[in-house]
This record gives sequence, C-alpha cells and structure tokens, in this order.
Amino acid sequence: MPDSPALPYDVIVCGAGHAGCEAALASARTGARTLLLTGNLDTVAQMSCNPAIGGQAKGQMVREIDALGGEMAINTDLTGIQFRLLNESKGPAVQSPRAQCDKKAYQFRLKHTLELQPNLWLFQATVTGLIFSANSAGAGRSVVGVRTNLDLDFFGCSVVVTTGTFLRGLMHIGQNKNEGGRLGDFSAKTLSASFLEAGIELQRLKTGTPPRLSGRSLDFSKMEPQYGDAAPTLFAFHDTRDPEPLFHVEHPSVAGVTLREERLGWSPGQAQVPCWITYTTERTAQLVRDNLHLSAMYSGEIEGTGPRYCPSIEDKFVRFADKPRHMLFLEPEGRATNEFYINGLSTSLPFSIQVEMVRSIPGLERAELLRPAYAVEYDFAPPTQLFPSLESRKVDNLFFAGQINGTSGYEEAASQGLIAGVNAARKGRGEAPLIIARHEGYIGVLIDDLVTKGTREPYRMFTSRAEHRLLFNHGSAEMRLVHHARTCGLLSATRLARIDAKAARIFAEVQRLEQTRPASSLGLGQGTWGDHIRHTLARGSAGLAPELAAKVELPLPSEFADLAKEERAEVLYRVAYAGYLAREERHVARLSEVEKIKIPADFDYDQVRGLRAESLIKLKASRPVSLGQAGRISGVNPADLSVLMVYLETKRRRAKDARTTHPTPEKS
Amino acid sequence: MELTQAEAVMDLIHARSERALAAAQRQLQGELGRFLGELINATILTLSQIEVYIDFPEEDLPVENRRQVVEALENVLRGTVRLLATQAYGDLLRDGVKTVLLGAPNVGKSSLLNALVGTERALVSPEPGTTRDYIEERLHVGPHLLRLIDTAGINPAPGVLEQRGMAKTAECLSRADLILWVMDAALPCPTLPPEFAQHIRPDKTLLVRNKIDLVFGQNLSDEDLVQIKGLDLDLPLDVSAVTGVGLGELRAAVIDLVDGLRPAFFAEEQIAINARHADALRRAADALQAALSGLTAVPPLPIELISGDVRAGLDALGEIAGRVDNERILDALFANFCIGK
Ligand SMILES: Cc1cc2nc3c(=O)[nH]c(=O)nc-3n(C[C@H](O)[C@H](O)[C@H](O)COP(=O)(O)OP(=O)(O)OC[C@H]3O[C@@H](n4cnc5c(N)ncnc54)[C@H](O)[C@@H]3O)c2cc1C
Ligand SMILES: Nc1nc2c(ncn2[C@@H]2O[C@H](COP(=O)(O)OP(=O)(O)OP(=O)(O)O)[C@@H](O)[C@H]2O)c(=O)[nH]1
Ligand SMILES: [Mg+2]
Repeated sequence: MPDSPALPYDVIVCGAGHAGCEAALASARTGARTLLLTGNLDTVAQMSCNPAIGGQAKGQMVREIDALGGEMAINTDLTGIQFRLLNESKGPAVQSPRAQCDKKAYQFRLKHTLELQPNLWLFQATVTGLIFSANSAGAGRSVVGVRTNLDLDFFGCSVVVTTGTFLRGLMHIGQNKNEGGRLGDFSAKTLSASFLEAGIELQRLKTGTPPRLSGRSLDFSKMEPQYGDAAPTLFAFHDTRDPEPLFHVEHPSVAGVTLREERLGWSPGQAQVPCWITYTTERTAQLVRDNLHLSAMYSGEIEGTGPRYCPSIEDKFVRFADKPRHMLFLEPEGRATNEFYINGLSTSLPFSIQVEMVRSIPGLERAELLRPAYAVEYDFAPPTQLFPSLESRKVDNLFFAGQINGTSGYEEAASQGLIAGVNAARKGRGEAPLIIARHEGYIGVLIDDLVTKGTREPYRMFTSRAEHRLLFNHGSAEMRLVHHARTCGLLSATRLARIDAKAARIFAEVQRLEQTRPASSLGLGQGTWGDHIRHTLARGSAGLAPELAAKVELPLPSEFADLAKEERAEVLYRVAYAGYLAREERHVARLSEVEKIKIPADFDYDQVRGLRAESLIKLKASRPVSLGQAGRISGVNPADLSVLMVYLETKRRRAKDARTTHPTPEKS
Repeated sequence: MELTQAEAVMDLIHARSERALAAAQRQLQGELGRFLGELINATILTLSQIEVYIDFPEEDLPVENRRQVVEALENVLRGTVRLLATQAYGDLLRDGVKTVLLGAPNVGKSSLLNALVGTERALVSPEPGTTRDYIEERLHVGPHLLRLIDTAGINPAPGVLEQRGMAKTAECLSRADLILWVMDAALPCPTLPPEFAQHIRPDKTLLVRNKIDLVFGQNLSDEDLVQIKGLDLDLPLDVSAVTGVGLGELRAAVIDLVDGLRPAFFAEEQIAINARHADALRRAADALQAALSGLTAVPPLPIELISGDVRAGLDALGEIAGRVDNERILDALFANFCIGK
C-alpha cells in the first residue's frame, strides 16, 4: 500500500487470481497507479483445479497473452515441468502447446513479479462492497472505490472485479456443505449485494474438481507413462537464435541485487516429469450407479449449471452408460511435492464413496487421498451486461474479468484480465478501449461471445468457436496482434522492434519463395518454390507438423535455412496453406465491413420498419455496438440484418447530405 | 454481406405484399423449412464428428470414421442439389416449358406449330428450308405453359444460310426443357448429326411422326426403329398437322412428360425456391463438394481445411433458414461423445 488509503488510485483490482494478476500487471505496465487487493496473498495465481496451462485453443490464447505483454506465458515456461504440443499430426492452425506446471512455483513466481512491478501495490484484504456515486451524466452510477473487511476503504478511478468462484461460493461433498470459493478458502458473501444494488443481475454456476492423491501410495507400474516432448514448444515468444539468456525478464534490481530468472532452479523444458494414464473399471461404474442418489449433483443439492466439457464421473457413467471405462490422467502437482491430481475423476459423491471409487482403479488400489473431490457453486454476472471493453453497461468505470463473467479456465480468465486491466487504465486516461476483433484472435472470439451471446454453462474456449481459426495458429500470435500491442503499450520498444523485424523477414521470405524458381540444375521442373512446397506437402501425409521444414524434402534455398526455427515454420505454413489463408483473409475483409457499421448507443430500433418482432426484442435487449455484433445475436437472422443495414446506411447518407448542403458554422 | 446484397433482400421484403411475405414465411416453416432443417442438422452432426477429433485430441474417443462423414456429406449434398432442382421447376412454372420443334426440312414442323397454337403463325411451304430463323409462340397445354419454338430444319448437306440456322438450332436445343423431334411418315428418318443427337434424352424428348395421313397404317421402317432404339426413345406418336389426327394424344404425352419434370420428391407440398435461395444453395453445394473432394483425396486434405468447407456449406444453408450458431456444433458434440475430464 503506497500512501494513505484515501489517496485515489487509477485502477483497483479485486482478487489476485489468474484474471486479477494479469489485470493488475497490465494496468500498472501502462503506467496507471494500480492497487491489487486480494483475500489471501498466499494464494496469488493459484490453480484451483489441475496443474496445467494451455491445451486446445487455450494454448493459442496463452501465446496471444504473451503477444500483448501479459505474464501467463512466461510464467508457465519458467515453472512448467512437462511440455507437449497437442495435435501434432494435424495442421499448424489446430496445434496447441500445453504444459504441466509446478503449482507452487507458478504462484510464487507470479507473486514475485507482482511485487517487483513498478506502479503496482499489493495488499491483503477482502473486498466487501463497492462505493458508488452518481455518474457525470446523472443518469446512472459510477464506481469510485471499494470497502474491505479491514474497515479500510480504497478509492480509484476504475475498479476491476476478478473474484473468480468466490462470490457466495458454496462447496459440496455429497451432503456435506462448506462455504468457500475453493477448498480451504473463504466465501465472498457480501460483495454480491453491492452488484445487486447497482442493478447487476447475478446467476449461479457450478464446477467441480477431483481428489488429490499421495504419490507414495500409487503403483505406477500399473499405469502408462505419458512423457513431454523432447523439443518443448514454449509459450513465450523468443528468438531461438538470440544469444541473450532465453528468459531475460527486465526486473528492476532490488537493493542492488538484480534478479535473474535462472535462479529458479531449472531452465524451461529441462528435466521434465511424466504424467500417468489409467482407467476406471466396472467396479468404479458400479459404485457410481449404486450411490448416485448421494451425489450432490444428482440429489438436487446443486442448482447451478455445470460445464459439459468437465463432466463429473457420475455424468459420464449415466450419460454414456455403454462406455465401459473412462481414461484418467495422474498429473504431478509439482517438483517439491508428492501430490497428484487425478484428471477425469471430478465428483460430488460423499467422501467415503470417493475413497472406494479411487481404490477400484488399477494402480490406485492403496491410494491415500490428500484432499477430497468437491463441487462448488458460485454467483456470476451474466456477461451480456458488459461492453466489449469488459466495462459494465450498468455502472461506469466498473470492469469484470475471469470466472465472474461465466467463464472457466485459467487462460480464459487471464485473457480477460489483461484486456480489462488495459481498458480500466485507458478509461481513466480518456483513451479508447482495446478491443480485439473476432478475426484477430481467440481473445477476440472469447470476449465477443461473452458480451454478445452470454453463456448458459461455464464458458470454455474451443477452436471450433473461432470461424477464422486457420489464421490463429499459435506461432502467429505476435504478428497478428502487434498493432494492438503497440497501442496498449505493455511491450518494450525493443520487443516491438523485434516483432516488426521478424514479421518483415517472414513476409520477405514468403514473397521470395512465391516468386523465385529453383535453379534448373536442381531438376525440380517448372514452378516457383511455393509451387514445389505445396506439391511436396500434398503428396505427403495429411498433417503439416510444426517442423514442416523437416517434412519438406526439398533443397530449400539458404535464405530460408538461415531463418530461426519458428520463422521457418511460419513461412512454410503461409506458403503451404496460401490459397486457404487468402480465402480466409477475403472472408474476413468482407465481414469487417459489417463490423465497421456502428450502431449508436441510443439507437431507436422501433424506427426500423420490417424487423421481425423477435429480432426487435433481442436487439433492444442486447444493444449491439456494431452491425457485425448484431448479426451474432441468436435469433437475429440475415434478413433482419439487411433491414437494419439499409436503414443505418440511409440514415448515414442523409446525415452526410445534410452536412454538405447546410454547413454548420465552425465551433469557436 | 454487402449493401447491394442487403438492398436486394430488402426489395424482396418490401416489394411483396403482406400476403406474399406471409406465404414465403409459411414456406420456410413448411416443407422447405423442414427439409432445410434436416440438411442443417445432418451437417451439424457431421461437423461435430469432425471437430471432436480436432478439439479433443487427448480423449479416449472411438476410432475416427471418415467413411461415415463422407456418406453423411454426400447425403446432404444430394439433398441440396435436389432443392436446387426445384428452382428450375419454379422457373418452368413462371417462364414456360421451353419446347423445341426439331427435324429435317419440310417434315412439317411449322405446320405442327400452327396446328397446336391454332393460328397460322409460321410460314408453311412445300419448299424445304422455309424456316430460317426460329419462331416462338406461347401456348397452354393442360396445366402447363409451353414456349414452343420452331426451328430451321436439319439438312445433312446445308448451304451457307442454312448452316447458320442450324447452328442456332443446336444452341437452342442445348437449353430445351422438352424436344419434339418431328419426322416425315412418308420418308425414312435421316440420322441426327452428333451435335444434335447429344441433346436427345429420353426424359425430355417426344418423337412425332407427322403426315400420317399420307401413309395411314404403314409401319416404321427397320432402319428408323434401330435409330430410335439406339437413342433409347419411345415409339413415335403418329399425327397429322393437316387433318389434326393424333394431336390430342400429342398434348396428353406433353402433359405427362412435363409433369415428370417436377421433382417427384416434393410431392406433397410444392417447394419452389427463389433466386436468392438458389444462390445460397449453389454455394452450399460447392462447399460440400469441396469438402468431399478433400476427404477422398489421397492423401486427404488436412482435416481443419475440410471442416472449413463444411462450415462454409452450413453457413450458406443458414442464410436461408437462419444463421447457425457455433454453439449448436458443440451441443451435438457433447450430446454424442463422452468428452471431458
Ligand atoms: C473447484 C474448482 C474446480 C474447477 N475446475 C475447473 C476445471 O475443471 N476446468 C477449468 O478450466 N477450470 C476449472 N476451474 C476454474 C479455474 O480455476 C478458474 O476458471 C480460474 O481460476 C478463474 O480465474 P479467476 O482469476 O477468474 O478467479 P480465481 O482463480 O478463482 O481467483 C479469484 C481470486 O480472487 C480472490 N478474491 C475472491 N473474492 C475476493 C474478495 N471479495 N476480495 C478480495 N479478493 C477476493 C481470491 O482469493 C482469488 O485469489 C475450477 C475452479 C474451482 C474452484
Ligand atoms: N399431307 C400432309 N402434309 C403436311 C403435313 N404437315 C405439313 N405438310 C406439308 O408439308 C410441307 C412442309 O411443311 P412445313 O410446315 O413448311 O415444313 P417445315 O418442317 O417447317 O419445313 P422447313 O421450315 O423448310 O424446315 C407443306 O407443304 C405442308 O403443307 C401433314 O400432316 N400432312
Ligand atoms: Mg418451317
């Protein structure tokens, strides 16, 4: 805490989870004086569920976070204990990096980063309510600060709420109930009232987590190991030819000691540890079937909706009764612990059944449980109440990010945190918000889906949610988002210059391959290098691995060979998929025309003749900011969109004509 | 969507009377809507079967069944093409059935046109090569509107002027819905040159043996029979443009044949799609075709590209029936696969 609490901050962030950490760092890095309040400083950036970052679509998001100047990628690289690239046999667009992390190391490094960040102050306190004032327009309210359990009030220009699963969190283990956002944690019970008071609607969601087991009680000889990749794909962007230390992070020196990341004990991707695969048995299924009535979820104890992609083991056996067994992964929680997370065994059955269930599984016959599985119910604020900047439509200067918006997952939370942090800081300075468009990256898809469509279950990213996923290969995140990175100001000038240079090299090499032909002495025949690459790959196996270079059995020119490994992969992707990528770009260009047609905030839909009644209701309720967003509201069909487009366009032209025929006197 | 496109849709919406709009709406809720709905559901299901292997590589899923995907997409493509065919039928209803009178010079094509229309519309003379340019006349035959087109006779050894007329005839033939191939009952039927013969299809051709008054009771020659069988046509209808014999039977045969052009498969309620629908369906068909080619190529195209094509097909179908939200793909995926840890 810097000065007297009475002195206002630019931005106050509530909750140091994955969303809150990114929000606070992003805000402070833009130069805003930022305060991060959290209920417990020992749980900063805690992974509530499994000790892993990345995976399908999420891995790409983490790279986007890095491209914008967030912390999740580098934190994962430095604390990861196993790295794998998923979907290696498929095309580059759907390949995703994933890492197992050392849970505690992850937390500690992030906390340390927060501590060292200039402009950022950390303080342990639980936020109990918001302080409002009438907003400048007099038409609604603004948030001006927060109250805490310590009877200390803090004031700020903007407030970012990132309280995760903690709002009226209620945990279930069979019939046993405990208040809390996470096992061993508190429940934020009064903050919800503040939201309701401000007219912000709240609903309930539910999620669950499996038991944790003690490693000394497990028989790994009965399980299959799953190892990391020998050549790990990391999350943070770096130039593999760079002679600098791999992860030179610019931490300021403290008391004359410059902190070197290498001190953490291992360098990324070294000394990886395996996960272990085993399966449920007929006995597991029997136990679930016999005790279903005791499950909190099946006995009706839980009212919130859970995620379909993280079903409990009860769900799996009930809904897919003909599937004899289910795959389980044992994931180590860290290097300095013998605790294991059992991925796939989420349940809300009573503890005694959990024990029997675990012990019915090969390798776990004598398992000792360290922590029970449980389900948690919590309040979330339906995200359709937000602008695409993540600012509330109901309360000025109040931003929401993370699980409170109905999402699930660390990566989803961190992505929103970054955007909300940047925008909270920009709002205070009167700058336009940072909005990533749907065609620019997964972060854009995530936020657009949330604010446009809302969600009925905890929202998680999948590649199939992105219409333009071909453009979203993980390796291109830095280049895709560099224009935003430049405006939001989280990256150093050096890094921006490095990205520009890299993009230029890639662009030039693609051009060269498309325009030059191999020397006739090579005997390759007609066509440019680009043609030969496409031809060679079309003959080969379907998937284009990241090491495309290796698969292209062509004597590619030395200019190509001189590029860094990740640059070669990008060049080959762009050449090999040229036609498809061009088609996608054309599609995007057509769509972004519609995005450009803005709908004024006070637009009167009743004036538009020809809209169907259903659309009229939907449009009035969700008030989209652009015609593009209007089109993504369910129930608004293409014909309605046409009607709206013509109306807006006619109005615009009329306004333009009026301006040209009756020039208004210049303002003095 | 571009503004011009939006305006076209608007025109459709505003130009039509309230009742026409209601009718269109009914159609979308009716058989067309139902049929499209089935195509869309099948596509969503297929897409979910593709996507599950992309988005859940770590799951213990059943072995990927590409054959099933191919079959499902072929079904959707077939349905799309069938729907498209209804546009041709819609045009047929609106614009008339394009019917071409074809045959050697002097067989009585112009006389037949006059006899069917009931006025002396075309010039008739005993000289072969009377008709040089084609003449078109509209007439109703039973419930159908016909655009009857008289053409220059086909001469195996044409002069310069005739050659030009014949080229036009061949062109006209290529776009015909119905062909009345006229022969002279008193003469052997000359062999059709290949540029004409290629358009002769049994489902749209009637063979007419004119001037039957001159040879009453005389059978077809064996050579003629061979040619007719070779083209897979039914035996000719005997008529006389002069006496009117057989014209009733000819009309009945025309009605039967045109009835057959209606896509039999929408028997209950008529579906006739409009030009905007057709445009969307054509794009859907192209996209589905591209997906199928990608799937069956050796080696197959990367799956995310195939998925892109299927998605494009789905979007095109959605332009008619209402946009398909991505969420529906996930719904299908979670309903059919045991996913998640
Ligand atoms: C039991 C459980 C199971 C889960 N299972 C899965 C899963 O299977 N898959 C998956 O993808 N995700 C799962 N998650 C979700 C994942 O943990 C979250 O999506 C992610 O952590 C959300 O990040 P966040 O920053 O929004 O919130 P959190 O990580 O929950 O962080 C919230 C932070 O805010 C602090 N805080 C809360 N209230 C206050 C307050 N009033 N004042 C001050 N500080 C406050 C807390 O101390 C905490 O540090 C699960 C979470 C839980 C709890
Ligand atoms: N007896 C008899 N004569 C017919 C009949 N139909 C046509 N004719 C005569 O046959 C001659 C040619 O008739 P057109 O109708 O001009 O023949 P066409 O096929 O149009 O000839 P081109 O235009 O030259 O190709 C005319 O003298 C007609 O009177 C028929 O059914 N019976
Ligand atoms: Mg004639």
